[in-house]
Amino acid sequence: MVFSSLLFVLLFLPAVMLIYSLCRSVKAKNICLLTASLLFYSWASLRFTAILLFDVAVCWFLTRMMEFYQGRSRKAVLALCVAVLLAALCAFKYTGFLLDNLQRLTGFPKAVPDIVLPLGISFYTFQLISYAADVYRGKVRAERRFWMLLLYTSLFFQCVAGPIVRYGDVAAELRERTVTPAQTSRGVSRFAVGLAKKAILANSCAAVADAFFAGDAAALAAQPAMGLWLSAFAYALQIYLDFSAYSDMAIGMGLMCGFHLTENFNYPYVSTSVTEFWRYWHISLSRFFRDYVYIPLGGNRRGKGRQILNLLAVWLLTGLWHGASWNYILWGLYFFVLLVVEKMVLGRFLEKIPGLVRYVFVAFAILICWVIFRFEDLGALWTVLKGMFCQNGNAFAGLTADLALRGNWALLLVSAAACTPVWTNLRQALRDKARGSALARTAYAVFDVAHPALLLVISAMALAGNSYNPFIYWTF
Amino acid sequence: MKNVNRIKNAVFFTVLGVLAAVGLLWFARPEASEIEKRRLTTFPQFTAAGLLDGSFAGGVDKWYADTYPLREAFITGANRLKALYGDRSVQIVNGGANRGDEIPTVSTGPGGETDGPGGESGGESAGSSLPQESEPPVKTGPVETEPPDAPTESGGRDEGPAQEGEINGPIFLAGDTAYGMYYFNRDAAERYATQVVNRACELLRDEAQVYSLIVPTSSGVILNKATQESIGVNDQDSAIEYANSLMDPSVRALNVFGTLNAHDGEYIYFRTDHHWTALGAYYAYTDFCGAKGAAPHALEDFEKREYPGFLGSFYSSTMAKALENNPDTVDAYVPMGTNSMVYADKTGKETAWFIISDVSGAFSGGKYYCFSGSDQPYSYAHNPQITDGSACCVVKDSFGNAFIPFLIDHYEYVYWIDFRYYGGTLPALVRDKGVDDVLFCLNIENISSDRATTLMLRLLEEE
Repeated sequence: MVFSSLLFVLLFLPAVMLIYSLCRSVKAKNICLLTASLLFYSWASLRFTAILLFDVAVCWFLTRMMEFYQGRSRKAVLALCVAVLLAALCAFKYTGFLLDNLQRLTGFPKAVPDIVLPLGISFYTFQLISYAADVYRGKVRAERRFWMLLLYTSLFFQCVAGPIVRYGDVAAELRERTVTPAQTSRGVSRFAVGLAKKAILANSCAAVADAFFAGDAAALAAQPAMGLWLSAFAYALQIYLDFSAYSDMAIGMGLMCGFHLTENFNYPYVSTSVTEFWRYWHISLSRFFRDYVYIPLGGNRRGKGRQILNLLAVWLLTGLWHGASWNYILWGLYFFVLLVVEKMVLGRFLEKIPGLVRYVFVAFAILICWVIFRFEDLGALWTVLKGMFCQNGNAFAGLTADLALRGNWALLLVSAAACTPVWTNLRQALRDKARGSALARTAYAVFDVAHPALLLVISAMALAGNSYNPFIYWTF
Repeated sequence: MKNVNRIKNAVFFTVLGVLAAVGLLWFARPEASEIEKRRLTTFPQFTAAGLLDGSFAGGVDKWYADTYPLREAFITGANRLKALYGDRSVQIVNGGANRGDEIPTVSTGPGGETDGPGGESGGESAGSSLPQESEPPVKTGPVETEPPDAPTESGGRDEGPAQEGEINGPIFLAGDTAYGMYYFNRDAAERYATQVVNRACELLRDEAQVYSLIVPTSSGVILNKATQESIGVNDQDSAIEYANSLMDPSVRALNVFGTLNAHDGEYIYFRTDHHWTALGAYYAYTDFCGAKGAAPHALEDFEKREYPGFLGSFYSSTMAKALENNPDTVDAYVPMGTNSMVYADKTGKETAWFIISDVSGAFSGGKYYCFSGSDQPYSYAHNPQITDGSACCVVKDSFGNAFIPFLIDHYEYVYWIDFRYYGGTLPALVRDKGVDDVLFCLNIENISSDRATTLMLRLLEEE
């Protein structure tokens, strides 16, 4: 079950919200949420649930043990906990990749097993690691009740695709929370906007991206450069609208249930530097790597050389976290190079470059990054990169590219606008204007009341018929 | 503000609740989709293994979305929404990133050679000479056959035979006309020519004359070469010629591309559907008569029936308003000798039917079902006006349906089998019925499909 399926939107969610609203005590609400979360998670496979339960049980037991130890022993328990969690993640996520490369080098093994990645394991593993590390550091107390830790890990809003929520951020709300109409109202808007971003915009942008990216290497080699740039642009829109939509829906559902989840995006596509882009893109992941990898490795406190090494480690891991394939490693290294150049070569000179020039450079860099991200086949990736710069012997434009642009210009324009704060600013401006007169206030109130329901209906329309509609980040 | 929040929440959850309640109306869940011409997903069977691996849940997910009571209205609404995305009067739908295999060049002059399988020279071809075009390197085209468990639809006013739809690949839509985009598949074409047609010829060498008629689709015949190149499709004339060049010299391999192309200003293909019209089939029939050495009947000799309001598969796939506003008309020509036929369904049960059946009361997507009982596994007709014992067997897909009525007045018996559903073998049928002529009448998409051409091999398996 995915958030963008009719079953989730029109059956699971209303049923859970109805039962949740009937629960009086926080304990009852928590039991309701835990049951719903386990059902949601088990929907994909009961085997996956067993792995989730195992990881949570190990983490719960070892963090409880930590309370009895200090010093090196405490550190050893943390190391054991992290090792077990990472071992589970690596076993499922990287075994196939390693064996595949080994086979290419040595011919061994004869067959590479096809290991199915448990849903959301990359996300909940990081949540549990952050929890264990925070317990070790004394930032949070170890949760005594196993089922409460399970609830934190398996919350269906964010378990499978983030945001990567830290225990300390929600611990209080797990024990005591209230839901006000204002909070629900914000949640409703956020959820509806997220759903519309995914169902209407991201899915439609995906079709434009596929128009020139979906073929094999031979077909890719025949595509006009304009078509490839158009697909790259559409894919960049798709990946943001898709992933941020997931976070919007998660945060929205969290608000409806009284939780305040971490923001995961803050309009990264209007950044004027790559550093800024990563400050606003997948914020919870960047924070994780900063706090649990970069800073513990010494960050920038041990000299430039060490800092570069630390950055290299972080970006290799970031690439690998996104997928077990060489293109993700390349993708991580690409950002490592860009960030090192920005931080250490350009430095303050960057600020002297006109904003528009910086923006164009960052936009270009981001388009290229998503092309790298898209193609796991490095041969196909190279073909596309060459094709984007007219090195495949094709004309720059062509009828197919022209048709794709003409048929989707309004979609792409609205989608691009949805990646910027323009709607938020417009809404704020309307609200401010509305204060002036009773009529304007009423008009704004009507808009405010109607838009989530309207978006819900339009999204349901868009989702109908999409029997297969996975999120891009679904298996990460 | 507090009130606004409360009202907003109430409106949202009410709408959500109503949509959820509609989803619970199990009796209102449709079982088939008329517009998509398919049976909708059924509720999955529960198994412990399915529960463990997630396939049961995935099936429920698909079933819920596929049979949601408001789904068709939602899809229509979504298509109206997509019309706002930009100027979609000309567009490519369902992909279009594919490229076909390069078509090997064929020389038809003395000593002409083809770089076909084994590099051997091809057989004589009854078709036109070939353009020596080559296309960019390759990828296989879309599969055009339907699984035999496709849905059934009523064929018209009478309780009609079961019908089965086809799946469209990428479609080029230009104004009120749609075209299927064709991608050559060399392996499939070679399999069809050598393992199907030549094998049939070998098995039936002293018993029947084998003909092959590969029907080009509208994109190849109607669109000009420049447009075809710009949308990245392969040249169908060259593809047919290549396949024909691989056939045994004793096979009468027709290339009707030139004949159809000479009539490209006429109504020889539907605009809203992937099939040819009866008029297009008629022109191909005149070529067939030429190859057979028979005199074709004049079109005026046949009784003509018209079934307007046809919105075919291209409309189902694109839901384009321009197509909806300009539906096709299915013209059908009733054979002179008889309009009676018999078809046998998958269970073998025989039903008396009409070669041209009345579909004036059929739903808008079902008008093409008027021809030859549509896609039944096995059908036959006896023409009492001819008593020479002559018999023909047509191995066909749905394109053959519009062609078969013209054959009725040339044989005492005409048998036709749909290669996708027929369970027997061709040699057995030919021997059993004393067939003189075997005609493979298949559209070019099926000879470019690995799946379809592999399926055809079943017809020639040793008994």
